[in-house]
Amino acid sequence: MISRRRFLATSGAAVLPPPLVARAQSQGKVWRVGILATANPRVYDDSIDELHKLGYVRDQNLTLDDRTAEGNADRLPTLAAELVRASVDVIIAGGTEASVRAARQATASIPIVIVAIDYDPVAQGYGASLARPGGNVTGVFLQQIELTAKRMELLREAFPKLTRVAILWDPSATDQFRAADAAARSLGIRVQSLEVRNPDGLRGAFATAAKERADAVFVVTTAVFFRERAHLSKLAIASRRPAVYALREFAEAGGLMSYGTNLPAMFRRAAVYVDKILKGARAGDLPMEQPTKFELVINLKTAKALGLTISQSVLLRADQVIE
Amino acid sequence: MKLGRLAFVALLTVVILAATLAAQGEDYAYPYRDPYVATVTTAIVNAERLRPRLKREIVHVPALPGRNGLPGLQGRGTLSVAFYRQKRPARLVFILSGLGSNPYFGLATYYAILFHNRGAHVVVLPSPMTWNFALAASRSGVPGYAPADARDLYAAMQQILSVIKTRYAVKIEGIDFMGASLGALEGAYVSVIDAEEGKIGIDRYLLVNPPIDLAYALTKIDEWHALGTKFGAERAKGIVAKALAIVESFSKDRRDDPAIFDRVARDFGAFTTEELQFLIAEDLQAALPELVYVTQVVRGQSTRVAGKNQVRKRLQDVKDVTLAGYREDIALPVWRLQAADPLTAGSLSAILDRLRGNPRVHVMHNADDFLADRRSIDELKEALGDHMTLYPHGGHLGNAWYPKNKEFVLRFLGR
Repeated sequence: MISRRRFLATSGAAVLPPPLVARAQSQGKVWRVGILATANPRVYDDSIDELHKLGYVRDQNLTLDDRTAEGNADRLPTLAAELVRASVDVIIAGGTEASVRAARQATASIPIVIVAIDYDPVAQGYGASLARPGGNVTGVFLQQIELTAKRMELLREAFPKLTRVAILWDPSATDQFRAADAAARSLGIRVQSLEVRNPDGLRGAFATAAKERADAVFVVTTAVFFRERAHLSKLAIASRRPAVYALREFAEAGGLMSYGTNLPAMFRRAAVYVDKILKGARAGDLPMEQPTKFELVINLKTAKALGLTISQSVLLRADQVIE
Repeated sequence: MKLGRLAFVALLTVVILAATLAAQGEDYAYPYRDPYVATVTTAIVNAERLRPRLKREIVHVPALPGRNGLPGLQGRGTLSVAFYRQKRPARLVFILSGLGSNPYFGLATYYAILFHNRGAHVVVLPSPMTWNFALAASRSGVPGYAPADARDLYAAMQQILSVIKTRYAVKIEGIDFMGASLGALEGAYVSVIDAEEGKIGIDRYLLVNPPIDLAYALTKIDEWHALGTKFGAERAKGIVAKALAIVESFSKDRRDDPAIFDRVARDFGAFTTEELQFLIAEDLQAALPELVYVTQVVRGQSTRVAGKNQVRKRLQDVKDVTLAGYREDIALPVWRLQAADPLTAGSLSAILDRLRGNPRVHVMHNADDFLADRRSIDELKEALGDHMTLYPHGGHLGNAWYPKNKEFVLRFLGR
C-alpha cells in the first residue's frame, strides 16, 4: 500500500517559519488526512500547501493517505474503503460527485470535506442545508449549473455570430449538459451534443463538431476533461473551433477562454475545513460555502492561432489575458 | 446394541463422505492446497476489468422510521443497495456477501456481473454487519445475531422489491438468493422465514461457505486478530501494507484468468500462515469501527466508547473495538434478550432440520474451510446429502473464482 502512495505534501520543516514549526511540534497527535481523487491528485497540492501554512507538517503532525482512481470511477468505492480501513481522521473528496458518493458510502463517522465542482451537494442529499449540513459531509461547492448558463452567454457575447454550438460532455456531467443545452436554446443557438465516454472519443468528437460545422465548442467540467485539458485545447485548435471552458487551468493549457471559479482557492479553503475538524468541530455543524469570486481568462495566443477576434466588450471584462 | 449401531452409522458416513470427496477430488483440480493462500486469492475477485462494464444503480430504500435524523447521522438512514437491471422481464438474484461487505465492490459485484450476463436482474445487499444496514434496517441496531438479522433482511428485501418495481418498472419472473460466508448463514435463516411466510417467494438459495458453528468461527477470528499484538504494531502494519500492495498490483488485470490467480497465490505465498491468518481476521474486522460508531448512536450506549458529546474521542475509541469486544460488551446483552445462548441459537446447526427439508436450498462448502471445524462440515454434508456440494479444497471462499465452481453457481442460479 505504502509503496504506491504518492505523498503529495511538500515536507515543510525546512521552509516553515519557526513559530509554526513550534506550534506543529507542540501538538502530540499525528493527524491522518485521506485524499480521494477521481483523476487529478495534483489539484490537492493546494489543500496540502494550505494545511502546511496552518501548521501541519508531514511526518511531524500530519500523514497524508492519497488514493487516486486514475479516471476509473468504479474504483472509488474500493479506495474509499481503504481510507476508512486506514483510520484516517478526515477525508478530502474533491472534484467529482463520484468521489464524495464513494466516501460517504464507506463511512458514517469519518468527516468528509468536499470540493464540489460538478454537482450541488444539497440537491444530491449530501447535506440537509448549506447552513447546517448535518451528517459527516461539509466543504465548498461551486454552483456549476448557474455558471454554465453564464458561460454560454459569454460565448455568444464573444462571438455574436454564433448560431450553432457543440456541447462536449460525458455521462458524469449530465446536469451540466442539460443546463448548457437549455441556455443555448434560450439564446436561439442550435445545439449539437458531443457525448464521449472516455478520452479516446475526444478526437472523434471534435472531428464531428467540424464536420457538422459547429461555430464553437462548449466544454463542460469533468474530472477526465480536466486531466485531458491540454489535449482538448490542441484538438480545439486543430479543428479550428473556438472553445469555452469552466476553469482557468484550461485557458492556461491553451484553451481559448474560461469563466469560472478559482479552483486552487477552493482546494485551499478545503484545508481550512480540515483544520477546523481536526480541532474538534463537527463536519455537520460547519456551513458549506460557495465561492463568490469568478474570473474570466482569455488566451489571446489561442485566439490568434485560430484567427479569431474576440469582442472588445468581453476582452475588457477579462480578469486575465494570456498573450 | 445402540452404540454398535451408532458406530456403524458413523463409519458409513465416513465412507460415503470419503467416497464423495474422492469422487469430487479426482476431477477437481483446484490448484491451492493451503486453505489460507486459497482464501486470500479472493482479495482480487471483484467486477473490475470484467466485461461488459455494467451500469449500476444505487437504490436508496427508506427503512426504519426515526433512523434518518440521529445525531451526526442526519440524512444517512436509508438502506443503499446496488441494482443491475435488465431491460426485459427476468429473474432477480439477491446477493449477500460476508461479514461487513458492502454492495459496491468485492465478491458480490463479481457474481453480479456473472448473473447479469446470464440475463438476470441483480440486487447486491449490504451485510447486516455494515454501518448502513445497522442504521437503516437493523431494529436492534446491533446486528450479528443471524435470526434477527434475517428478519431485518427479509423486511428490507420486500422494501427493495417494492422500490425497484415502482421506480424502474422492472418485470421480475422469479427470485433467487445467493449468500456467501456470513451472508450464507443469514440467507439460511431467510429461507426459514420465507418458507413460513412466503412474502417474497424465493425459489432457490445457493449458500456458499456458511459458518456452521458461529462461536467456533468467531473464536478463530479473534485468535487470529490477536496475532497483531504478538507481531507488534509496526510489523502488523507492514503486513497489511504489503498485502494491500499485492492486491493493488493486480488492479489492471482481469479477474477471471486462472494465470492471474497463480501470481496472486505466489505473491501471498511469501507470508507465513500466522500472517495470513492475521490478514484474514483484519479483513473480517475492517467494517467494525463504522458499525460500532453507528450502533452506539442508535442505542445511545457508551459501553465501550466515549459519550455522545465527545466526538473526537468517540471516533478514536471505535477504532479500537475488536469483534470480540463488540460481541461481548455491546452485542451479547442485546442478543440475550432474544435467546439465552445467542451464538448457539444463531448458528446454522440450529436450523439444520429446516434446511434439510427445504429442496430450494443448496449449500456449497469446502472441506478445508478453516472457519468451520471438519466434524461440523461432515455433519452438514450428512444432513443435507445431495443438497450440498462439498469440494476438497478452497479454504474459505477461496475457490469462488475457480471455473468449476463458477460453472456450478451459474448452472444452479444462472438459468
